[in-house]
Amino acid sequence: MKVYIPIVAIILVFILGFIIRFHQLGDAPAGLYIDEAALGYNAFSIFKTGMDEFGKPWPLVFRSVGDFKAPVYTYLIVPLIPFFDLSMFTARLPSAIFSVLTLPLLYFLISMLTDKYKIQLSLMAALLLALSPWHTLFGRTAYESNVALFFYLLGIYLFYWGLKKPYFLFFSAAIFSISILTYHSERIIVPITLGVLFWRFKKQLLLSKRYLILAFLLGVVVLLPSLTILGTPGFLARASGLNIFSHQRQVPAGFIDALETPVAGLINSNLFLSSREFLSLYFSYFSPRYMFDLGDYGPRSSFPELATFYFWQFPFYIIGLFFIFKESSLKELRFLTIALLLITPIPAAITRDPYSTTRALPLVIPQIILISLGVIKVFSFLQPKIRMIGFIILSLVIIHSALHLYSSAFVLNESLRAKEWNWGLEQVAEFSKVSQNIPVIVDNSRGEPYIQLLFFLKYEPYFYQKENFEVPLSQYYTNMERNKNKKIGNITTRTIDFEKDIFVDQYLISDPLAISEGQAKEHALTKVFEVKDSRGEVFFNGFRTNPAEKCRVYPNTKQCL
Amino acid sequence: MKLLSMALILLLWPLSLLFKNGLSEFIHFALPGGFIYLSLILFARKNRCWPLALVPSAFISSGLFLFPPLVALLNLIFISRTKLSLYIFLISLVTIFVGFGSFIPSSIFEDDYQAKQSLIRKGQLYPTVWLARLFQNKPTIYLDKYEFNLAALTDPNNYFFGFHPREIVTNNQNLIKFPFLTIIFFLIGLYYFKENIHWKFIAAVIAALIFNLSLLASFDKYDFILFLPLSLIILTGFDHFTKNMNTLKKIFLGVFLFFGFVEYLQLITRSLMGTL
Repeated sequence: MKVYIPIVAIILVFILGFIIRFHQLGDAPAGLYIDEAALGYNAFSIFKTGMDEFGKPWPLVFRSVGDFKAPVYTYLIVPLIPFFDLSMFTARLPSAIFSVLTLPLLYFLISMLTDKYKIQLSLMAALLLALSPWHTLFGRTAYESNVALFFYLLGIYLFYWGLKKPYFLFFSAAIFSISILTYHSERIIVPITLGVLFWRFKKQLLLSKRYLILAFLLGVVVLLPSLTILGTPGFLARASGLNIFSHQRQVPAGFIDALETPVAGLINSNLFLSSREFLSLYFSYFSPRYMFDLGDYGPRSSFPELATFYFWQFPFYIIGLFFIFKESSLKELRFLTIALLLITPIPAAITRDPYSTTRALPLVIPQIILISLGVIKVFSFLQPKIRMIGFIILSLVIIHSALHLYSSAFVLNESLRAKEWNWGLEQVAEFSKVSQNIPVIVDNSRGEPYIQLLFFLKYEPYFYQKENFEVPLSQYYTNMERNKNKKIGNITTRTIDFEKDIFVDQYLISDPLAISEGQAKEHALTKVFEVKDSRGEVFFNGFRTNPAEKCRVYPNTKQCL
Repeated sequence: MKLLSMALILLLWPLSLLFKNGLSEFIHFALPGGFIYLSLILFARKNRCWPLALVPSAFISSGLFLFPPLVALLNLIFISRTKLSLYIFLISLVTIFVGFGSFIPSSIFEDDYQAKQSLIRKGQLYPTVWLARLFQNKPTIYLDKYEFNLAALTDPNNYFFGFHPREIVTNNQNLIKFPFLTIIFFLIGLYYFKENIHWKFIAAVIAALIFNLSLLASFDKYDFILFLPLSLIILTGFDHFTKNMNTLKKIFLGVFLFFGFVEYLQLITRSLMGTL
């Protein structure tokens, strides 16, 4: 009977994680962010034509909106399209699947690495990960980092299996390579992790030298296509644009302007300022302010009123941190947790944004392990009679946390963050579908709505590729120029030109900033539709131009003469 | 080199506070720290009345009215379970009676109209009343403020990086308190914390201060009282680091001195420019 309890428990945790990630999967968040739409539409384009939106056959990285997305997530969506069609659910499905699969993977990884508190720790970590706001958010949205985390963790798990059965090293190498192809952060943390693991187990690994070399070669083979574009601006786009050591766009933090003293060079030295900025960003990933109170400042990287962890987990985190360093009986789990704790924030720490939870997602694993360890240790200190009370209290706290997650993710997020999730473009697409014969201009001054329009219209990729040009295909990975004006049948996405557009019979669609009520009156525009959220906030307005009326009121206008 | 490093570590926060706020404000916020130093001397001499030396700090800064009784309570529970400790705790409660009246308006419990309106607006978004009441209720206003302060006070970035280089925390001067590389000594000091002979004193004082300061509407400048206990932890770590110096440690110390020197230059420059 006792043998079955852990099995039943992990199944229950799996079901809980499944429910949290799959409940209203395609509907919450209600909007579809530009990156999600890009992943989905490019997958649709690959499925239909074997080419991406720009007509590039089977790209090694996806040019998309100039951010050159890693390819794996897009290719994961492709086989889902014949079954689920192109929809928000389909775009988010790979993320949800791999997010749920991470739960038993974490359980098995911890069980393998330690004998002390083996079952309790594994179950607690899986449970806390299932409820984790951080992991849940990226498990419910189309973010590559979440899928990369699964492959990264699987690579580590298979590596440890490889120490017992060397042929597992092949699988480990292949999976690590796939994780690198899934998200940019893994390009940094995987080589460092492999270096650390090799250093720790080099004696054992060198006994299976043949397997080691072949595994390495297999990993390189999997990466080979991407290695061919290694030095291109496309491959390095994200790294060069965001890193704190590149001062093309922004001076280093702490730079004092207009300083004219003999020591100005010293005070504003790049070495000093960049070192300080890096360390500050690095330590921000261990900051209680961000972990337990503020969360990620990015509105799409956090749920309202919820940080990356629940506040009640703070003291357990401190206790876990204490014991992970002091308790050597945790053996390999101790080493791996500390290693992951130190390695995983590095890619995020070299980009400008403090506490970027997307880029530092793998950090959720060691931090969840620490919190779980803290909980287990507290329980181990309690007397048996008090332990039952403690268990009841913990259960109530966990139920409260689940409700808190529901409150933030399904209630507040839908209303308070709708704009950040680009809600409203589906309605714009529906309207545009109806107005087939009349041109439609959709303003793109504050975004790139073309990709969501393509997504919701399920616009035929073949026609889109023919109607639009960005760069010659031979320069796909090297030419960083962008053409932001897009043509989608009768729809054009560009900025509205009031000197020309109001003299053509067409629809103009924009947010309230691009066309105010005053401008609409001045240019004789007739409002034909409006997209409003549940609180009455207007997201988009659609106007019909009236050239004849405009010329009647202002007959001396150049375009009327 | 060691003495210079220690000077660099210990002078930055006092100078930042002085340059930013002027002498009289500096004395007002530094004086309670003097009583902590007095209390530490008594503790080191094994004088059991050491918590009483903290009582005057609550009269200088009314926001610290909880601090002396909390320390006395922690002393009673964890350090010295004697009748004398109990009497000391009861005596220190006098600060509560003196400071409570002026505490509420400057605490997290001050009336916050905007927060209440926000609660009402958010509550209307919920599908059920009970769910709205569970997460959008008045106690959550105070709890959120307390959690914010507690997290900020326990954030190492607050002390070594002025939070974060590009971040401006409202209600806070965002002063840099210690040279940023001191964080390494701080972490070492935490690891070897129990080897400090005064570790019980430091733990009790820090715990009590963090609890008390978290109740304030703005803990900024009041948190200077943490200077002494934090410095003790850092110096413990520094002491460990500088034992058995090898080449790598000497290089690190050289880098530390250089960067520390630049930080002081930055402090002086910003102070002269009025942009501190």
